[in-house]
Amino acid sequence: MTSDPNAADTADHQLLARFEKRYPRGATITAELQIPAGFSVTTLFGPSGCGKTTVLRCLAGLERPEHGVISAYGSDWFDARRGINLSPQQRDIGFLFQDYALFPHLTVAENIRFGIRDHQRAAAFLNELLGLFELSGLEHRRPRQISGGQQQRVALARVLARRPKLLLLDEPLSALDATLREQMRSRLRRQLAQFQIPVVVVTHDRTEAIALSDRIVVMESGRIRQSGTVQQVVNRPDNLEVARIVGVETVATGEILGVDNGLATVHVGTTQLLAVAPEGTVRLVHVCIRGEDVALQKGSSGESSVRNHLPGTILSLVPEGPLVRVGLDCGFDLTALVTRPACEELHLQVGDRVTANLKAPAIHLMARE
Amino acid sequence: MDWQALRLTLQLASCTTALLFAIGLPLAYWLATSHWRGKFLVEAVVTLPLVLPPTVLGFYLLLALGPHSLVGRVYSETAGSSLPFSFWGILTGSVIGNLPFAVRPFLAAFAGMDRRLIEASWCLGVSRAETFRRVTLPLCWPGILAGLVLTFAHSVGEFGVVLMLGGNIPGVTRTLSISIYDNVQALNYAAANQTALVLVVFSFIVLCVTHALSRRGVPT
Repeated sequence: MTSDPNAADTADHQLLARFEKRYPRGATITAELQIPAGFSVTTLFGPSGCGKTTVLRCLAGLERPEHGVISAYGSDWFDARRGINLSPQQRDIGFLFQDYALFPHLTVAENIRFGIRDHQRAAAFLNELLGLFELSGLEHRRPRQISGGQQQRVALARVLARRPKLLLLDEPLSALDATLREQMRSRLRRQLAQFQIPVVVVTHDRTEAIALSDRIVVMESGRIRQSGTVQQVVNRPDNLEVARIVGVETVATGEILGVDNGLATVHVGTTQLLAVAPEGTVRLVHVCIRGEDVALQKGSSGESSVRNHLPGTILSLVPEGPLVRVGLDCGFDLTALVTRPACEELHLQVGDRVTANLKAPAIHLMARE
Repeated sequence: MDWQALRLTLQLASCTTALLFAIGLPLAYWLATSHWRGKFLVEAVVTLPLVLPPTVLGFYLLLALGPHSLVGRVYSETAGSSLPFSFWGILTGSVIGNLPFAVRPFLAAFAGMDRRLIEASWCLGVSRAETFRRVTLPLCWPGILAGLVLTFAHSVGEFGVVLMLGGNIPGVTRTLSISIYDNVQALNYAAANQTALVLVVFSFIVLCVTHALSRRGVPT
C-alpha cells in the first residue's frame, strides 16, 4: 500500500474538523473546518444562536458531536465511528470563555498558574505573561478587584500559560465596554500573534470579525454558508444570506443586459451600472455594493452615468460612530458610508443633489433564481 | 439533666452528620450534574423524609429492618444482633430521615455554581477530581457547611423515627427528645424543662452559625 507522504504531512500540520451536532429539540449544527498550524485567526461569524459557540465547544471537547471526525496536528480528537472522543484535558487547547470564567476564590497569579504543573517553570513564565499582558502589580488581587479589561487579559494569560496547540476564543471582547473594545481589537491580534498558534474566534460583531481575522467562516442556522479570506467573504459574498450577515449595505436586484470584455452592463432600478461580469451565463443578479466603496460628490457631473457616476438625491443621513450612513436615491436605493469630516466638508443635507461614484470592481454580482 | 442521653444524642448526631457528608456529597453532586431523565425520582425519594410524618418513616423502617425483612435477617446473621432497638438501628433511621437536610443544601450549592468555571478548569488540563477539589469544593464550601450544621442540629432533635425504631432504652436509644417525652409522661416537669432549655439554646446558636455562614459566601 502506498500513501502520499505529502498528504500525511499536511494532515499532521492542520486541524481538520467535519462533524454534526444534534440537539434534542431539532437544531442541527454542521461544521467543516480546516485550519493550518502556525498563527492565523479563523473567525466563526454569524448572528446569535447560529451555532458558532457549539462548534467551538465541540472543538474543545465540551460537547460531543453525533457524527464526524476532528483531527488536529497529528492526533485524532474525535471520531464518531471509532468511538474516539478525547476529553478537553487531553486536547491541549486554550479556551477563553465569553465572561472569562476566572476563579473568584483565587488571585490573579493563582488563576494564571492554575493549569501549570511544573511550578519552577511556572514562576518564570508567570512574570513573562504578567509583563506581556500588562498585569504586573496585580498578582495578588482577586478577579473582582480588577477592571473588565484586566480580567480579559488575566483570562488570556491563563489560557496561554499552558502553551496550547490551539486557542479558542468565545466572543473575546463582548464583555468589554465600547471604548475599550475598540482599543482591544487591534491589540488582541498583536498579542496573539506572538504565540505562533492557530486561533479560532467566535463573534457576532462584524467589525471585530473583520479586524481580527485572516479567514472568516460565516454561519447561519447551524450551517456554514461561506468561508474564505476576509476579502472574499466581505466583498464577494456567495449568496444573499451571507451578504446580509456580513452587512453589505446595498443589495439590489438587477438584470444583465450585455457583457463586453468581461464587463457587464446591469440594469438596476431605473439606471444602469457597469460591473465585472460573473462567471457563467447569468442574466438575473443581485447587485452588492459596500457603503465604503461609494464616493460622493456634490452636484451632478453631467451625463457620464455610463462610467458609474450616478446622479441621485440624499434621502437620509444617520451618524454611526466615526462614519455617516447616507441613504441615496440613484434610480435605486443606494447606501454610502462617508467619514464625518467628509460629510461636513460637502455640507451634505437631506434632499441635496449629489453624484455617487462607483468603481466597477467594487460592484459584486450574485446570480439569483 | 440526663447526661447519658446527652452523650448518646451527640454521638448519634455526629455519626449521622459524618455519614451524610460521605453519602450526601456525591449524591448531591450527581443530582446537580446528571442529565438522566429519571433523576427526579431520586430527588423525590431524597426529599420524602421532609414531608413524611417521622412516625410513618419510623414505622416502615421498623418493618424494613426488623427480623422478618431481608435486610434485618442478613444483619442479624452477620452481626449477631438485630437492628431495631439498637444504636445502629436508630443511626440508620437518623441517616435516612436527615437525608434531605444534608442533600438539599449541598445540591443548592452545587447547582448555584457557575458551570463555566468547571469547564474552564477542564480546558486548562486539570482532571475532573482535581477540579472538584480545587474549584467546586472551595466555592461550594459555605453551602456544604450549612448543610452539615443543619443536619447535626436536626438529628439532635430527632424524635419520631428514633422512638419508633429504637424505643426508650437508656444509654442505647434514649436520646434527649425521648428523655423529655419520658419525663413529661412521668410528670417530672422540672427535668423536662432543663433538657428542653438546653435544646432551645443549642438550636438558637445553630441558627446564628448557619446565618453567619450563609452570609459569608464566596470570599472576595
